[in-house]
Amino acid sequence: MINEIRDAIIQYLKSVMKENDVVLALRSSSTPGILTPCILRNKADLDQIEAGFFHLNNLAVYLSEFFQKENRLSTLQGYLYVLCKPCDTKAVTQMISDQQINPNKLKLVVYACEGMADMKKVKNEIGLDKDIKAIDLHLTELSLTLLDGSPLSIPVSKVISSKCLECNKEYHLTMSHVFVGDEKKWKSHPYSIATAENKVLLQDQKKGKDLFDQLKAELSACIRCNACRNVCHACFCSDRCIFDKPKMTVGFLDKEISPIDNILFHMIRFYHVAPNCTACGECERICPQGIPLSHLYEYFHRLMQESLDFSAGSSDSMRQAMLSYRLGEDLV
Amino acid sequence: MKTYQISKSQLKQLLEPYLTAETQLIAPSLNPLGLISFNKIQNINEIALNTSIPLKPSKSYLFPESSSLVQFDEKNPHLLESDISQKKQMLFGLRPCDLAAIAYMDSFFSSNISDHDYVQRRNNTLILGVACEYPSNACFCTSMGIQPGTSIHADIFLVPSGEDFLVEELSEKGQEYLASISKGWKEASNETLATQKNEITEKTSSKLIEKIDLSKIRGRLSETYNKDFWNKYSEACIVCGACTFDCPTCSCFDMNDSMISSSKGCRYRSWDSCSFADFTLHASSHNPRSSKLHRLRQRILHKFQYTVEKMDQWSCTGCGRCIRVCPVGINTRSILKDAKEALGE
Amino acid sequence: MDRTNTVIAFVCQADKRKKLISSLKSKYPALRVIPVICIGKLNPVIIFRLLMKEARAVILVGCEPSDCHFREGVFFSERRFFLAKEVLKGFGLNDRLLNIIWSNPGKDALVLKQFETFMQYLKETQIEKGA
Repeated sequence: MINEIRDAIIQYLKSVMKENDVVLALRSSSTPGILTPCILRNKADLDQIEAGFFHLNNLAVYLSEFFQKENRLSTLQGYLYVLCKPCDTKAVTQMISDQQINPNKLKLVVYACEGMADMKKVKNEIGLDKDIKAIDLHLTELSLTLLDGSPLSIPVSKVISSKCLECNKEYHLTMSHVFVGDEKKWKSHPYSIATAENKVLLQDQKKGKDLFDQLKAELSACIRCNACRNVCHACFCSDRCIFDKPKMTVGFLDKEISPIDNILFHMIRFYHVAPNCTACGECERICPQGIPLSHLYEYFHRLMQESLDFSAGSSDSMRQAMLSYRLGEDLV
Repeated sequence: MKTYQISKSQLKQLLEPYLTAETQLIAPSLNPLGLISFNKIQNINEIALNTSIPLKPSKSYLFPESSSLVQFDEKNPHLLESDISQKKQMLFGLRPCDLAAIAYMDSFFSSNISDHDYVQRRNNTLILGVACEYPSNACFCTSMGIQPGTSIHADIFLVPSGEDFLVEELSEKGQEYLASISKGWKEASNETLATQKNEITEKTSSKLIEKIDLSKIRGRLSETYNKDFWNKYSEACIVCGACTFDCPTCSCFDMNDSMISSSKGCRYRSWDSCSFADFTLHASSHNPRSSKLHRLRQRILHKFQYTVEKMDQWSCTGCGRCIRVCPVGINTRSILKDAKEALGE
Repeated sequence: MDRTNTVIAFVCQADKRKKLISSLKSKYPALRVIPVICIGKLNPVIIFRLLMKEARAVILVGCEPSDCHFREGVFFSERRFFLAKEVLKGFGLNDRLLNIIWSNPGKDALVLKQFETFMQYLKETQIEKGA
């Protein structure tokens, strides 16, 4: 199934790509289980494209680069085709709503996604003393070759990302896009093992000091590498970011690492991105220390929906939550 | 220098002296977030030796993520050196790649100018290496000239041998320590040691996913400066800096002041990364490495060219952590292979 | 940095509030009063920094929508401070550490009464970080 989708995507792009068009997609890397984003400018290169179960990256974060001063997309004569999973389109929509990118030059290539791998779960299945030499998906089984040459098979249900298990197979997109694959068939079987409404978050289970202590312990592993900020599509202050100027804002937030400084960093960052966060999970996947940031972004995502009736990424024209108000809304 | 043979239960004797309140034992163990990293050990049962190389390096115990250098007080104007802990520590379970990394850090921090902070910590540290039996899928130490079964950069080196360990004295510090605890330990011959080391080296090398011959391009990598292959890696890079933070030889740091009150404060240094956009930002606002391509290229050339020119050694040890942690799959081995191809080798 | 017992109050400095500011300063010597042009301009990031490091609590005094002479600034600030309080809750901190009083300038008595209640609450409960 996965190979079919990949071939269908390549076939589609080959049929529509014109001379000045650029394709932002993924190719295989030498590291098993992960794909590398790439920018393709020639039809001949399109055969490198990979998609499917190992499409873990949210490519929306690269889009703002095309709109930076040095790199104006207006110099691009053709279109920019972006390979998106249906959940990635939320990030693109939110960026359009925030006026960070111009939708007129973009064409999204959305495809029938059957979920993505969680490589941490795969590593847990193979044991701490072994490692993966090669990995491939065959229908519902992941077949691995380990370093010592021995084979291993793991059912997909054990290693699929938990975010995918809640997927209700819905996506809304008003901008120009094409869906590769059978959309009706894809929508007809949502996973929905754990629905979003019934989800129990850390903030529901623990309150007050217990919650603070747990978050403090988790965040004390933070080394302030700023990776979560760099991969976030909602963080678009780029070179004006408050965290990059410890000298200018003397003593405001030091680069020093202590439990309190780390909490302050995440508090400030989540306050800034809460209205734009689409809960894509990239920050958690990228964290080199393995900090479970889902404990924070899930809470804010739900908060925006319940209290302000705002869901980031659902509309490209609705004004962002913090930039609008309703009369008579007595919040504080 | 002697070699001993001890059983697994005698390993306790080697480590227990550092489990007191005035000392600390650092060894690989499972941390609360599910990763194998070098942590402070409370109980010997926590130590995890038979795992793939720990994802996190041990450099934070010699070069912490942030450390205060001097303290100052306007009302009492003189500089106070910050207290570096005088605790003696043992770093246990470092593999030959990490040991070579520490040797590099030693020459970086103490050959030309002696870095007081680092040297003090280093002098209080006893290093126990261990031969590597379980590599990861990113390891390429043999391509960097390192043998997984042996090393000269530790104070004491352990070689697993069946159910036992061979314990090799390598330095005077190591000899002194072993003399105080090795009562009743059996000695082993140099031949046994050499044979076992070779066996481990061969077995582990056969598990490595890839070996690259770098001998013909050593010292020639600056010729790749203007080649095209850099583009396909730098366009994917998201400047997260994880490769530099997990690299055991990356030592760049930033310095800032932190105020405790309006008159008291300290000057601290914290880890920085040459991948960050403002790493080379000048006060005039000119930035010579403003694009990702500049910075990725500089990082690779630093590890494989510039230190070869200035210090006659690679500063990469092939531990593969940069490959394992990169969220977009940028692979240092692929870059080296592309460099070889571009140079016609 | 150790947290002190300082409570910091940001007060919108409309004309009629000068009396309020001076009476607050005299009544509560431990309170640090900072007049600002409009609390709609206040970045909650500053409040987080203060609460985590130096202050014990932060009180904001702003005008009601009918009186704000920046017209609709106060509507935006309402959402902003709501989110700030939710962030504190999301991290397990007591959201009463950030207290917001809306009142029109001139209605000093009301504001002073709310201050009194809050200071009393602080004294009794000994709110600490995380409680």
